Amino acid sequence: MSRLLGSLLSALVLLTAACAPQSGAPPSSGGAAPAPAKPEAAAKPAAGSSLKIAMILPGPIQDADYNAVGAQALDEIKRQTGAETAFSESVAVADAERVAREYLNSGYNVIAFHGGQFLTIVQKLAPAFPNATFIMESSGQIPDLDPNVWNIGRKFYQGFYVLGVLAAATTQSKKIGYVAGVKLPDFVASLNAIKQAAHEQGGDLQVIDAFIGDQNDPVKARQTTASQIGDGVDFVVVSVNLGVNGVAEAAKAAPRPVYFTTYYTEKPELAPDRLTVSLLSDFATPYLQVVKAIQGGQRGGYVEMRPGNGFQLSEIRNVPPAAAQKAKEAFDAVAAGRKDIPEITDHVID
Amino acid sequence: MATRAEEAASRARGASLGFWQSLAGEVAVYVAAIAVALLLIAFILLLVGSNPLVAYGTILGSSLGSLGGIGQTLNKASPLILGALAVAFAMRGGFLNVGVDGQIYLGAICATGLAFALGSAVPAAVALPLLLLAGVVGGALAALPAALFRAWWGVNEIFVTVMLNFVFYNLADYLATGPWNDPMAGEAISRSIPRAAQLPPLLPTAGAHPGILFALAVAGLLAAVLGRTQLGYAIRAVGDNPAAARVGGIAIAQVALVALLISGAIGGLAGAIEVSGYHQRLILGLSPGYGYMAILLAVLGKQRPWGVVVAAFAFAALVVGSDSLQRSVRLPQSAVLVFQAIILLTVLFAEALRAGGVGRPFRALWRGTL
Amino acid sequence: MSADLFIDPQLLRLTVTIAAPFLLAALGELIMERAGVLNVGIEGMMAVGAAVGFLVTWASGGSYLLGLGAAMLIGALLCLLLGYYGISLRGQQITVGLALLVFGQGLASLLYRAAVGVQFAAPRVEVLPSLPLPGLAALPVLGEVLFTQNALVYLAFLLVPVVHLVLFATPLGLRWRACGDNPRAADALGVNVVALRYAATVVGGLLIGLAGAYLPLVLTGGYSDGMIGGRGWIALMLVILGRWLPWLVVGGALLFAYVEALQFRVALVTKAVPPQLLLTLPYLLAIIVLIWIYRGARAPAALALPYDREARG
Repeated sequence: MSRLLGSLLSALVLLTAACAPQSGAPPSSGGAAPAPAKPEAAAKPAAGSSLKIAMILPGPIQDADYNAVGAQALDEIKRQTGAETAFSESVAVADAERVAREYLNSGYNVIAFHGGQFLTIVQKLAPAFPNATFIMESSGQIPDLDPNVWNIGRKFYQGFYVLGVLAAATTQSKKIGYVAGVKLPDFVASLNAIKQAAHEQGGDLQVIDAFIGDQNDPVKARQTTASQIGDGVDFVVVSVNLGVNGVAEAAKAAPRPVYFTTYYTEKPELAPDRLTVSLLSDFATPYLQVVKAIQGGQRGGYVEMRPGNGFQLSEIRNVPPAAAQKAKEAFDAVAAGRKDIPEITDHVID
Repeated sequence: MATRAEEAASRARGASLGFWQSLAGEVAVYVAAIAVALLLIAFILLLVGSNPLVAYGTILGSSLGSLGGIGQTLNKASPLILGALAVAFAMRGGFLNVGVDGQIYLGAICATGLAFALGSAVPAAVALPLLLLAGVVGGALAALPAALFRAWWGVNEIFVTVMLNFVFYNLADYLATGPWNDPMAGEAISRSIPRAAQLPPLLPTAGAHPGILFALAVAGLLAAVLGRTQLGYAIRAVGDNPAAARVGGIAIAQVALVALLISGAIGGLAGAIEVSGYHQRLILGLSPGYGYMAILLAVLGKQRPWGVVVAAFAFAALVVGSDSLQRSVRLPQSAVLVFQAIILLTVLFAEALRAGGVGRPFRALWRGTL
Repeated sequence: MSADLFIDPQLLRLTVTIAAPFLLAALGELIMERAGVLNVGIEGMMAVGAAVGFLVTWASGGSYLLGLGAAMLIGALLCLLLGYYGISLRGQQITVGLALLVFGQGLASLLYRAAVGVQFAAPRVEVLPSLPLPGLAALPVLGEVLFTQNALVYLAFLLVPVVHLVLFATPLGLRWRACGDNPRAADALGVNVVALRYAATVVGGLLIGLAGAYLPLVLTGGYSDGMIGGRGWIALMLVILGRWLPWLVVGGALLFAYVEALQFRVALVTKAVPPQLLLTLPYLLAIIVLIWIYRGARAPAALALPYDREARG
C-alpha cells in the first residue's frame, strides 16, 4: 500500500515537473509589452562579456506584473550588452543577503536588487565586497552610498500625479479612491500627488485612501474597493500589485460604472471596459543606462526613473476624450520637467 | 504505546549498547529516507533537462563547502534552532506553541524599541545583554495570553497563539512603516539600531553572526532543565501522563504557564538575535514562517534538545543549499519548495513506517479543561 | 460614523460572499475532526485547490464544473495522503499536515508556472455569476444580502444543516462522532474506525479543495501566489471557535468576514487609528469570542490521536 501510494505521488510530481519549463527563458510577449528601451548605441557584445549580472526579485516572474518586468529588464540587458545574467525569484527580504552572497561567492560581479526593500542589504554588502558593483532601487537619491553602488530612484509619485489628473477629470461622483498596500513613503507621496491633481481640478473632489497592508492579496483588495464603491467612489487609482485583480472584480461587480487604473504592465485582459490606463514601467531603460555606465568604468551613481525615462502611459480607454487628452498633456508636462509636483512623504495632505 | 515500566526499562537499557544500536537504527532510517528523496528529485531534475550531480554539488558547496556558505547556514540555523527548541520544550509538556512567529516578532519589537531608547551612548557591553533580555521578555509576553488562558480556563493555546501571530505581525508592520520607519528604505523596514546594540560578527568575511552560539547554549540549558530539575521532571510528567501527574500532586496549570512562558521567551530571543545580529533593523518578513517550520523540526528532532539542533541545522543547510538550485539549474522557486517538502515528507513517512505506528501521542494536546 | 456604516446592504452582501470559502473549508475540517483526524495543512491544500481549480477552468474554456471538480479531487488526494500517514501509519497528524502545507504551496505555484509560464497578460476567467433566487431575491434587505449570491454560497450554507443533521440525527453520524470521541468503544461495537476516518479525510478534502477554488473562481478571476492569505488557518480556528458544531461555525465565519469587511469601512472613516492596527481587529475579536464561549467546549476526545486496534488499554 505504501509503495503504491509512493509511486502515485512520484507520478504526480513527475507529471507536473515534466511540464515545468526552465526558468530564465525569455518571457513570451502575450499582449502588449511595455515599450522597448530606446535603441542607444549598443555596446558590442564582447565588451560586456566580463560582466556577470545577477538580479534578485522579490516575487515570482509569472506574476505578469512587477517581477515580470524585472525579468524582462534583465533579458534586455543580456540582449544588448552580452553580459552573463542570472536571477533568483521570490526572494524574501530576510533571505536576500544570503542569496546575494551566494552570487558574489560564485563570481558574479554585479548584483541588482529589483525592489525598494533591499537598501539595507546593499548598505551592508557594498563595503564588504568592494570589487562588486551593486544596483539598487529606491524612491530617491540616498545619501552616503558606497562608491560601488548605483541607485535607481523611482519617482512613482510623478506618474501617479498624472493618474490623479485622469481620475479628477473622469470622476462623476467626485470621489476618487486610492488603494495601496503597505503604508510607505513612496505610496504616501503618490497619494499626495493624486490629491494635488484633485485640488487642481477643482470642484470639491474627495480622495479616499485605503492601505490594506498587502500588495498582493486580491481578496483584501476586493473588499476594500467594494467598501470605497459603497461610499460613492467611481474611479480607483491602484497602487497594489497582484491585488489589482481584486479591484477589477469589485469594479465589475459594482452597481454603477466604476473605473480604475493599474501600473507596471498593460494587463489588457483585466476588465477591458473598466480599466482606463496603466502606468507602464519599463525598468530596462534605467537598468541599461546603469549597466552601460558600469561597462564604461563608472561604478556608482544615480539614475532617475520617471515619466519620460522608464515610465510611460499606456493607451487610455473608457474615458471621455477630453479627460484622456488632459492626462496626456499632464504626462508630457511632467516628463519635460515643466510641471513640478511636491514630493511629500511623511504625512498625508488634506 | 509503551507503558511506564517498559519506558523505564528502556531507559535503563539506554546506558548499554542497545541505546547506540537504536540510535543508529533511527539515523539509518533518516538517511535512507533522504536518499530516496534525493533519487526522486534527481529523476525530476533529469526530466527537466538539468544535471542532478551539478545540482547536488552546488547545494552542498553553497551551504557547507565554503566559508561563506557555512556562514549563511549558521545564520539560517540560529532562528530555526531556537524556534524548534521553543516548540520542543512546550511539546514535552504536551503543549503546542504555534505562536513562535508572533513571539519572534514581539521579541524583535521589544529589542528594537529598547535599542532606540538606549541610544548610541550606551556601550555594547551593557546594551547587548539588555537587548537580548528585552527579546526574552517580549517573547514571554507574546506567549502570556495563551499561557494564562490555558492555565486559568483550559482554553486551547493553539488558537490564541495563531491569532496572536497575526496581531504581532501587524504590530511590526505598523512600527516598521510608521514611527520607526526608515524613510530612505522605502519599505517596511525600520531605522538602523545603534552600533552598540548590534551583535559583533562571528565570521566577519562570511557574514555570520554569533546567534548560533546562543542557540547551542539554549539547547544545553534546556537539556539540563528537562533532565535534571524539578521543573523539567514536572513538565515531562505532565507530557507523558497528565492524569497520573495530577494524582502525583503536580499543579498542571502552573506547569502549563511556566512551560509556555519559557517557550515564548526562547522564541523572543530568536527575534532579538535576528534584529541585533542579522538585520540590525526591524523588518517585516523577519520571520518567513520559522514558527511553522519549528514545529516540524521539533518533531523530527524527537523533541529532544540535541535532536532538534541536528534537525534544524540540517534543514538550514538544505534551505541555504537549495536556493542555489535557482542559480545552477534554473529551477523556479516553487520547485525548490516542492523539493524541500518532498524531503520532509519522505523522512516523515519513512519514520512512521519504521516506528510501526508507535508515535508519541499528544495526550494533552486538544484537551481543553484541565 | 452613522449606523449606516455597520448595516449597509452592500457590506452585508459582500460579507456573505467572503464568508463562504471560510465556511466551506471549516466545514470540511469539522467533518474530519469529528472523526478524529486533524488537518493543519488547510492553507496549502486550499492553495492547490485554487491553482488547479483556476487552471482547469481556464484550460477548459470556462467550465466551472470541471475546474471545481478537479480542485475537489486534488484536495481529497492531499487529505488522503494525510489520512494514510495519520490513520494507517499512525503518525503525528500535525507534522504531516505542516509538511503537506509546504508541499501544497510549492505545488500550487509550480503548477501555475508550468501551465501558464511567464507572460505579460495574466490569464483570467469570468467569475461565477450571481444567481438571484426567484421570489426570494425581491425581499427588501435580505433579498440583496442573502439571495443574490452565487451557487457556491448557496451550497455552503445548505451544507450547514445537512452536516448538522447527518452528524447528530443519523446512525452514521453517531458512528462518525464515536470515531472521534471514543474509537475503542466504537470499534468494540463493530464500527470500522479506519474506514470511517478515511471517509472523513476524503469528504473533508473535497470541501477544502472546493474552498480553495472559490477564491479565484468567485472573488478574483485569476490566480496569484499567496492568494490564500492565511484563510486556511482562520478556517482551522473557526472549527475551534465553533466548538465543532456546524451552526456555530457558520456564525463564526460570518462574524469574521463581517469584521474583516468592516475594518475597511472603518479605515475609510477614522484617520486616528493607523490602518495596520485596524487590521488586527478580526484576530483580537476572535480571541475575545473564544474566551467568552469556550468554557465547557470539548473537542472530540480522540482528536489527532492515532487509533491502534492491537494496543492494550
